[in-house]
Amino acid sequence: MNSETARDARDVVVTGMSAISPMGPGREPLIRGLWSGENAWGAVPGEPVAGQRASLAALVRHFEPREFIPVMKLRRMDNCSRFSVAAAQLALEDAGLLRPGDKAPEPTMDLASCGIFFGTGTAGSTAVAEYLQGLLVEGIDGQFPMLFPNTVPNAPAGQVAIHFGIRGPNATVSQRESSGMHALALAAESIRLGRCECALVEGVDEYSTELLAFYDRMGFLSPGRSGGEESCRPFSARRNGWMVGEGAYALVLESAGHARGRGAGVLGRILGTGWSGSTCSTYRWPEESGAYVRCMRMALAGSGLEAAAVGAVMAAANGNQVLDLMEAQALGELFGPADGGMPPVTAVKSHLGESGACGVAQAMTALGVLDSGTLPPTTGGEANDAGGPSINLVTGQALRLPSAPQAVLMNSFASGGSNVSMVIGRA
Amino acid sequence: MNHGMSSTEKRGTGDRDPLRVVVTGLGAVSALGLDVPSLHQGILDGRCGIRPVTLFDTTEFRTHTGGELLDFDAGVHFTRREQRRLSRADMAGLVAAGQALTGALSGGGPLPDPRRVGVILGGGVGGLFDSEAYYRKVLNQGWKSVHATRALGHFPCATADRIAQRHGFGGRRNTVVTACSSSTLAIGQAFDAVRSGAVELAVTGGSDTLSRLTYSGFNALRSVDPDACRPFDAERKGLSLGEGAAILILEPLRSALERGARIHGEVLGYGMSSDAHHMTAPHPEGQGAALAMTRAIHLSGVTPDRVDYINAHGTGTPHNDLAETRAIHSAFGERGSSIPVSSTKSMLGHCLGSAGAMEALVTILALRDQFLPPTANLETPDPECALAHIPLKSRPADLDVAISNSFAFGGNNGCLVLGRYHEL
Repeated sequence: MNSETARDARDVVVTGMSAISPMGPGREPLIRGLWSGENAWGAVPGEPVAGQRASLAALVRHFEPREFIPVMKLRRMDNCSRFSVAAAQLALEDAGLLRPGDKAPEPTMDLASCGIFFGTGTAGSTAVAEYLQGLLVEGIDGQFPMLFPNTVPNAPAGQVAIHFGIRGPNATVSQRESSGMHALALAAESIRLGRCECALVEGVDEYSTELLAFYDRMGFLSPGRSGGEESCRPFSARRNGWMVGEGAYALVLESAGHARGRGAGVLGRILGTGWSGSTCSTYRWPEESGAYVRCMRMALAGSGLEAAAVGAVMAAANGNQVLDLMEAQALGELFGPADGGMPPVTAVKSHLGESGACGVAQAMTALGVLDSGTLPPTTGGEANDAGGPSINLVTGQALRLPSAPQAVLMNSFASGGSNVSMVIGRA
Repeated sequence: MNHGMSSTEKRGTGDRDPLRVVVTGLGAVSALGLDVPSLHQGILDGRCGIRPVTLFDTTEFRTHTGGELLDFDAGVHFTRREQRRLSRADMAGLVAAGQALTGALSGGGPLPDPRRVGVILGGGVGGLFDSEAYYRKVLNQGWKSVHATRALGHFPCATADRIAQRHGFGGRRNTVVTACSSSTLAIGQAFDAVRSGAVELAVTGGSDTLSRLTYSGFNALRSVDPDACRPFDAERKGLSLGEGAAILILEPLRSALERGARIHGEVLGYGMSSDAHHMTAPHPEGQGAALAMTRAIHLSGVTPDRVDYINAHGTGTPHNDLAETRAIHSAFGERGSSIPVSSTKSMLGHCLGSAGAMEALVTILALRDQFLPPTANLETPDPECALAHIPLKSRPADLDVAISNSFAFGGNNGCLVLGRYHEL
């Protein structure tokens, strides 16, 4: 093996993807839903808290956990773990590492050299709330020990490791809205450094009544105090807050050498990652765009590409007043004006809602863009939505790109100021 | 596969290998005191910081002790307004980070670009102690009875955000949440980030505090010792919970030398694995734990025979200590019963999200000042745990390489390989 091939062998490729999402279980429903401009808002369950303004969220639909997990095991899993195990199974099948119907991965896969990297904003929160309802109201008689293992945010990754017997590096990261993309970046770095040969990456979060009430009371969610319509409108002049989403989005990453060795089909290639931090209040987005520009430039530098090589952008924008404006400013600074060098932009949180899982959903969308040469539309806004930040936003219907894109830039910018950008390229 | 990880030949030669990562700052707030010198002295003396818990009422629980922070007065460090918005974990983390940064940046040389300083921490229950009070009010008096800002510190990533915000750090920022191994994995991630050049300097470690939920949960699992925990003792009954923050500053050796910073020790590498066995119980043979140790040693470019000391996960539960003993024997073969082993948790309790950072910090002190930290309360070693224990008191020793183990709920295992820094 010459040195060129040796270096190439540590490149990181994507060989499988799937999801348990508001569009339904699997890869196809998600892609179909996004490209047809569907969104999945539904009424949140239970009685709303007094004075609560938000009433909708993008909740997982058409998911039957018993199709994936034996009933006895299901009882010990919260929704995050259920979504995660099911999404893992579908993604491993998609990568050809698990035969449909089989319980354990193919013997060709070295279970000790496969890593698991999870990003979650709030996994464990539902179990924490339920546990505390017993403990704080009834005291020790109200504590329910079976809930305790689910209070840790790494429970879903642990359950997936147990379910499939995957013994490689196992890490869960949590940095609010950028959790999922942090996990993806960490997995790619781990493969590049030889810490594992392949990795299951998931972004996962579940709906929680208590969290929705908290966000609503803090005034973060649409419709907020605006009195306007409850709707998620990234980059629109009429945006009035974000909306909650849930689901599990899963990718299988491998070193190029490992993928080649087993003759796996390659969906895309991780080309570069950038990280930066904005200094702002917890739960707020920064009112300056410099850290976003640095983040995207670092990802481009890592990929060895010029800004002009970026064919599309998967934006972090979620309908928040500050985030969307600052991301638009940063895109303008990096690419030039909307009618000049700026590539088309789409924001999938308009379909899927905001959560710590979204970074991985953006990566799945980016792979769909590279595959089809088209971008899904952003819903909730109009192309001529006067007064919004000036960017090249895809709205109304899917957009066919003039030529096959070589690379897609993805942004994940969290409240509190932790930012990740990644560049993903063609197989 | 060797990707230029520090090799034994390079160790101690003082060369300017840009890939060497050293520790130039230490900060700690623990049950043995509110700074590193008091922690250091407590460890040297083998003092146990586990006492009756005062932070909340433990009357109803089976046990009543923990490694609570001693005399932590938030008013010394934070204004009233800040105290309202910061969780106990945020405050402990900010204080420890302040100590570590003051030490690291005191050399007088050129400071790193703050936009390229990263904050990579391990988190546990984060601000849960404070949000429990918030949630109790919500449950008893309704959502309108308490301001939602009281729960702002709830999530573990808040501490990393607060530290970056206070010091204006604009580099890579992330929080690892793998329960009891969080901050071990965070230090590993910070090591990779420094080596790859993604950051010029990393603030790493972790902060975590006692909470009613974890106190209740571990009690319900019957894994808490009613007295102070006794890791590896024949009479051990379980763990003791603890709290606090430990922060380490990592940077390339070259920049540390340029700045004239004091170098406390070196990070040689780390390894991770998963038990894939059970959510709360360790693999009985310590299979995943052994894999993490073997992997860490291999990736660090050292050999198992170079390891002079093992800072054990050593929780004091019957299962963990037995499984860890088997893992050490499996990873080190014949040497398994002769490498000195001790558990810092015997003095600090199990600090969950900050446990790994506390133990890495103690291991760095041991390497720097050439002593073996003890296992407090170890009166009668369990014959099933056939290891070279350091009971009750520390003792001087020649140490060059040491490992620090962390194993967690969910089967997440991490192992750090740390080295003595030899002066030029």
